[in-house]
Amino acid sequence: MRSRAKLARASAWLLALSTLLTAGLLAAQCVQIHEAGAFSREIVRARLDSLAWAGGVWLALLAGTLLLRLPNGKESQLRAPITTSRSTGEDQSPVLAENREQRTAAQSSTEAAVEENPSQLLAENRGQMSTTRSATEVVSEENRLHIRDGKRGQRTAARFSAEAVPEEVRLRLLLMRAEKTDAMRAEERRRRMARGACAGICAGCAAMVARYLVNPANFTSRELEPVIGRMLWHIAPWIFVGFACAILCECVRGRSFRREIELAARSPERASFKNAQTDSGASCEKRARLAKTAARAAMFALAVALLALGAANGGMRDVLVKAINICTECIGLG
Amino acid sequence: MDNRVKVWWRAHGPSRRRLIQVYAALLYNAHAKGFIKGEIYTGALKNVCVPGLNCYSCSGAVAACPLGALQNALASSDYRAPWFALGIVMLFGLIFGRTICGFLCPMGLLQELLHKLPVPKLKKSRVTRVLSYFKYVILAVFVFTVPLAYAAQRFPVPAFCKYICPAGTLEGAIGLLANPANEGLFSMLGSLFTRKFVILVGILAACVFVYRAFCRFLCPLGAIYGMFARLAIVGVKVDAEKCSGCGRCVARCRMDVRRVGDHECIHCGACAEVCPAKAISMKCGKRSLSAIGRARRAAAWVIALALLIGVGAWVNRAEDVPAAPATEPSEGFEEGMRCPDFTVPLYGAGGDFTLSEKCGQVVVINFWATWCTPCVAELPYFEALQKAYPDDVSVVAIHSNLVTDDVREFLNREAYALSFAQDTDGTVMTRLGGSTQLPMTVIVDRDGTIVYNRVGSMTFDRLTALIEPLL
Repeated sequence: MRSRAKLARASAWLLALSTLLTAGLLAAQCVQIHEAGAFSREIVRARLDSLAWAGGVWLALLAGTLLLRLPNGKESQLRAPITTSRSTGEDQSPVLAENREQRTAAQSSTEAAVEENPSQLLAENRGQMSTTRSATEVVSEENRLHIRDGKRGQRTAARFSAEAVPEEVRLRLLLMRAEKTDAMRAEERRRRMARGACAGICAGCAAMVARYLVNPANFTSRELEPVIGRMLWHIAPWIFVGFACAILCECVRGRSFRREIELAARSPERASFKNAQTDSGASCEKRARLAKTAARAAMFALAVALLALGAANGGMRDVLVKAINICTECIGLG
Repeated sequence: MDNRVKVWWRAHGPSRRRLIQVYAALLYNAHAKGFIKGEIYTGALKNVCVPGLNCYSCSGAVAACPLGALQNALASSDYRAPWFALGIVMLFGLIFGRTICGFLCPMGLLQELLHKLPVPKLKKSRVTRVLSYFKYVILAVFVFTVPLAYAAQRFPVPAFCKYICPAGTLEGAIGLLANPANEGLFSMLGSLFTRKFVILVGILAACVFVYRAFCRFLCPLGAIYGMFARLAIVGVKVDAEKCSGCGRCVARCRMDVRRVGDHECIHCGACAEVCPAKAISMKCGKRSLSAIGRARRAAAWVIALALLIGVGAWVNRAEDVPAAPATEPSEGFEEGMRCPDFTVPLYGAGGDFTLSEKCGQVVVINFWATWCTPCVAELPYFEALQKAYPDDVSVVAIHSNLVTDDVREFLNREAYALSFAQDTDGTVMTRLGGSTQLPMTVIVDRDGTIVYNRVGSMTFDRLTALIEPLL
C-alpha cells in the first residue's frame, strides 16, 4: 500500500509535468505557425498531429494516476461509511452542496484535536454542545495527495488541522480567554505599522498608474498595439511594486500573528470571558440590517431605472447590434 | 445492488451545484444550429445579457456577454450613455452577486473541471489573497480606462475582450475556426490570435494547478459582482447566533476569502459542509434555500428543463429567410463569379450607389461598422486608395445592417473623402456572401467579376497590390 501511494504521488507529479509540457508545446506550435507566416486548417492539423505523442503520454499518465488512486480491497474496508445529508432524511447542508467525492467520517472520532481547537472555548461558554467531537470531517479528492496521515497509503478521513484555520481567527479566539500582554500589543502595533506603510506605498503606486491612465495624450494613436505596449511599459512596474509590497506586508503580518499566537498561548487567563454579544451590539446589528435593506432597495430601483433609461435611449439596441455581428478582432481574429 | 449503486452515485455523481452549472452552460449556448453551420445566433434574445462570462461570438450563444456589452457601451459613451449595460450588470450583481461565479458561469465550470485533474495543487495563502486584487487592476485598466479613453475619438476598443478574454478565444475564435464552413477565417489569424491563444493556454494550464485561477486573479466580471457581496440577495449567509467563530469555513474554502460571503466568496456552499454549528446556509434574502422541500425542488427542475427546451426550440427553429433576388446562373459572391447588381442609399449628399453604373471601373466594396475597431482603423486606407485612383477606382464603404444613430455623427466628424452607404436590411451583405463577420472587402474588376471577397483587415499596400493588376 505504501508503494502504491508512492507510485500515485510520483504519477501525479509526472502528470503535472506532462500537462505543463503539453501546454507549452501547444503554445509554441501556435507561435511557430505565426512566425512561418500562414495559418490554415491543414497546417494547424499537421502541427496538432505532430503533438499527438504528447497527448498520448498525457492520457496514459492520467489513466495511470487515476488507476493508482483507486482504492484496493483493503483500503475500502478502512474507508468510513459515506454519510450525506440526504441519508439523514433532512437537508441540513445547503441545497447546493459541493463535491460528492467528499467522505464523511464516522461520528465520535476520538482523534479530534479538541485541545487545539479554540472553537471549544467559545462553544462551552455559550452553553452549546461541543460539536468538535462529533464533527463531520471532510477531505476532498484533490487534497488527498498532500494530506499526510499517520499511516501512509490508507485512505482515512483527514483530521481537520487547526493550523488550517486562519491565524487571525485563532488569535481572536485565544484573546477571548487570554490576557493581552505588552509584547502582544507591540506585535499588534507592528502589524498596524506594516499595514499603514503598505497602504501608503500602494496608494503612491496607484497614483502613478492613474497619472498615466487619465492623460488622454497617451491614447491618441489608433495604432493600438504600440499604445497598449507603451501603457503596460509605464504602469506595469508600479503595479508590480504595489503588489510586491502588499505581499511582503502580508508575510510580515503572518509572522507577527504567529508570534502573537505563541505569546497568547503562554499568556495568563482573563478574569472574565469576553462575550461579543451585548445589548448595544444587538441594536447596532438591527441598524446595520435596516441600512442594508435600504441600500439594497435603493440600488435595485437605480438598476431598474438604468435599464429603462437604457432601453429608451437605444442602449439595448446597441447591445443587440454588437452581439449579432462578430467583431473579428474582439475574438482574436486579426 | 441498488444500494451500492446509490452509495456510489452519492460519492461520485455530480452535485446539485455541478448540475446547475451544466444547465447554465447549456442554456447560454442553446443555439445548437450554430455549431453545425458555423454561424452565430442573431435573434432578439441577444438584446439581453447572460449573467456569466459567455462570449457572444460563440456559435451557440443565445444572449450577449455582460462584460463585452459593458465595454462596448463604455466605448460608445461619447454619444450614448451606457445606462443599459450598467443597469443589467447592477441588477445581476444585486440579485446574485458572486453566486453567478459559483453556479452560473460556464468559465467557472470549465475551470473546476480542469482542476479535477489529479495533479499536485497550489493551495491558497496570504500571497494568493493579495494577488486576488489583481483582477481589479484588469477591471480598471482594460474594462474602463482604455474603452473610455478612446470613446471620445469614436474609436471603439473593448480592450479586455480584444487582448485578454480567454472565453472569446476559446468559444469565439476556436469555436468558429473548428467549423469547416469558416475556412476563410484562418487567413485572419495573426499576432493577436497568437498572443490570445498563448494567454488562453496559460490560463487553462494554471487552472489545473490553482483552483479557479482565472476567477480569482483575472476575471473583471467577478470583480464587479464581488462589489455587491454585502447587498446580494442570493448567497451563502452565516447565522451569527449559531456561529462559534471556529474558522473552519474559511480554512475549507478554496477561494481567498477572509470570511464567508465577502467579495471573494463564490457561494459554492463548501463551507457549510464543515461548519460544526450548522451556521451557514444558502439563502434568498431571509429565506433559507435549504428549507425548500423535495417537491418544490423537483418542480423547479421541471420548469428549468422546460425553459431550456423552450429556448433551444426557439433559437434553433427554421427561420423564414427572405428570398434573394433572382440572379443569373453565373452570378454569385465567390471569386470568379459575376457580382450581382445592387443599389444602396448614400449618406451625405444623398442619392444612391448602383453597382451596374460603375461598369468600366474597378469597384471596391468595404463592409464596416462604427463599433468595429478594425473597420474604423482601415477606413483611412480606403480613402487613400480613392484619392490615389480617383478615375479608375470607385470605393464604397457600406455600413452593415441595423443602422445606429452614431453613423451620421461619425461621418460628419471624420469627414472622409469617401462614399458611404447603408445596407439597412442586410441583403447586400448576404448577397455578397457575408454574414456577421466584419470587416469584409469585395473587389470587382472592370467587367463586373469578383476578384477578391474576404473577411479581414486591409492595409493600403495590400489594396494597391490587389487593384493595380486590374487597372
